[in-house]
Amino acid sequence: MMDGQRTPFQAYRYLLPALVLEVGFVFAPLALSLYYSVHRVRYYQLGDFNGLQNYIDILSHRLFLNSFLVTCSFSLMALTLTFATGFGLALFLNRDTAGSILLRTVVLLPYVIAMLVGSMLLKWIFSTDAGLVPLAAAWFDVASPTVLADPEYAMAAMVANGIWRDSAFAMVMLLAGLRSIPPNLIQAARIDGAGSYMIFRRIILPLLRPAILITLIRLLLHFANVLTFPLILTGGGPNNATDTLALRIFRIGFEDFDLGKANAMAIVLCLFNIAAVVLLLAVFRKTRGGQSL
Amino acid sequence: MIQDSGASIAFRGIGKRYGETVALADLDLTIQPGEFVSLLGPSGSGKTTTLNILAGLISADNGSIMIGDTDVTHLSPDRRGIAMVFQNYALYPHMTIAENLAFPLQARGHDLSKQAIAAKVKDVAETLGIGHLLARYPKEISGGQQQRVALGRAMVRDPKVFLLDEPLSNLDARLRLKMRRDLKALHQRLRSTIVYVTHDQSEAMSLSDRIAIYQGGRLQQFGAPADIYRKPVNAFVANFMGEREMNNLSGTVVQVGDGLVFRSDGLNLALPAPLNDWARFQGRAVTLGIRPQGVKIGERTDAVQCEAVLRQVEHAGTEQFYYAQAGGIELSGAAAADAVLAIEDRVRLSLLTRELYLFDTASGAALVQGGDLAA
Repeated sequence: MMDGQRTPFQAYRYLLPALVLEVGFVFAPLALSLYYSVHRVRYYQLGDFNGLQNYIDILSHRLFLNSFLVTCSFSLMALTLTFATGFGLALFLNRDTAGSILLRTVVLLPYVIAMLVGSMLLKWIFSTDAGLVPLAAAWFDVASPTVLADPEYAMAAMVANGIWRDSAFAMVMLLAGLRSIPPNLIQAARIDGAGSYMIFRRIILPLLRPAILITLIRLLLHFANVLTFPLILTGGGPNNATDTLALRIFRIGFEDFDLGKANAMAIVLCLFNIAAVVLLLAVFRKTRGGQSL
Repeated sequence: MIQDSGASIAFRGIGKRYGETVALADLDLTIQPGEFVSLLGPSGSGKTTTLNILAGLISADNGSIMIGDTDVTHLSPDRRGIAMVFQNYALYPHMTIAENLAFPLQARGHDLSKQAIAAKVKDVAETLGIGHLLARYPKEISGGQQQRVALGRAMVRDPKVFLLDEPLSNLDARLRLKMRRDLKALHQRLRSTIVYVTHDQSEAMSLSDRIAIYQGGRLQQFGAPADIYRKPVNAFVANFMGEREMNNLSGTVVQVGDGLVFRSDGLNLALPAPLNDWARFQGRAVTLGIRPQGVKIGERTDAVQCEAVLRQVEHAGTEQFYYAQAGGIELSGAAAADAVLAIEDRVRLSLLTRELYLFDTASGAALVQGGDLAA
């Protein structure tokens, strides 16, 4: 029998479509970005090679540190609160009653609304002239806060935007994880005498580790790189209080038309992402017991 | 040292339905302390529902359950003094074998010291011959070893009652036989009450003190294996017990001249004189049943005789099974392994009267059990 013969060439042929996509949409843009980041690029005109000058310029800019800190604090707050909300919802809605199914759909709605539309919706809610916040404040007879004009409120509004939209994502990921835990294990633990807390601590949480890790990484990358929230909701203000790295990249690239510097900053952000993921993985690896993740 | 450490179990009018479907209908069942009882039946017959209600994993719609002197009907699983082994073992995959075994001891506020738990775990592991596996994870050991760990996790708390849900069904045939013996030996040593769910009649027969056999959510019969095999209360039980189904011939008993004849599809069987009291079944649709082991080749006394042609022969090691055409009916019978059986041979078959069963065709109820009239 001559069939079933496999050559290395055949293996590459099967891999080819995936490799083309990976190269076309990940490696090529990254390489291009690296290339631009060490050149002068003004108004889409590729200029001379200028080494690390773009990097030096952006890192020494007076607003860089601010953006870095804003990105860190936004990511951390949004990540923590979104994950906690999503986890709570997943645990609460991990049943197949009619109410749970309905509520899951309701929770998912913000996630299926386009991010742009959702952020504009929140902007309207927070707006001083015609929003819901002044209306609600009037109803309770308290002074209406000017949400988007106050540095701390503005940051809170952005975090709220993240929670409102992305808890649904966390919920779906964690629900899938919860569903993959065999019900027999929970039953066995109940018969073994474990209470709800012990079942959660010793059975559910450890078995949910892969789902938790993936959810955290996806959320972290999403928040660290999110452009729509600050661009639509706050415009980076007031007084640069919500000026994230992603927003600065956008501004430098498409408002100042300095694509060299914008790409240098994008590379910096990419390194920042990698560092954050490595940190998360390290934390997870430290606490694992007998699991591959 | 033999001590009676089991508890009695009593189901009183336990019922469970899911919408229109009756999962379990009015179960009354009393299990003695230290008894090994199998719940036997096809899938969907109510045996697993019975076990889950006993474990407290699902609640009954009506009725009550006693374990020992305690009414456990409304108690949560952990307060019933039971331990359970699941079909797929339900070992905690992220814990080592030692951690799996220790889990029940850490769970219920036993106030045991770490040393006491470790000692108990080691003790149980040694008993089951898995002492060398304590540091491994469940996925790193074989199916048979996982099975032992599951048993050990149940044993570690010294429960009064063990519930076993088809614990051997995931093992290969040889290992299953070995684990059967080990289970029986374990029961003889522990003397705990064991409730064992299975759909395998030979497993139930070889392990149990008594068997509860189910069909369609109803308990059909509860008794010692030999009694159930010998005196089945109805056609379902008769056909479910035993490696092979009975021969089932539907027909009627009619008077012909001086004697009685069982008239079936294209086959008339003259009934010998000892069966004269079968006259009472005249005019009733009945089913004549006989196990292959009761059908012999050649003339025998105390037997119903007929002519037949051999159609098929199967070797089964210690014996042979054959299928023979008698009139419009196919009969299966057993013969010694060394008997010379040739296909298309004409033979005289003897259906031994002490192996004959008669069932009411409509209800399935046994009228004659092994030659004797049913009580």
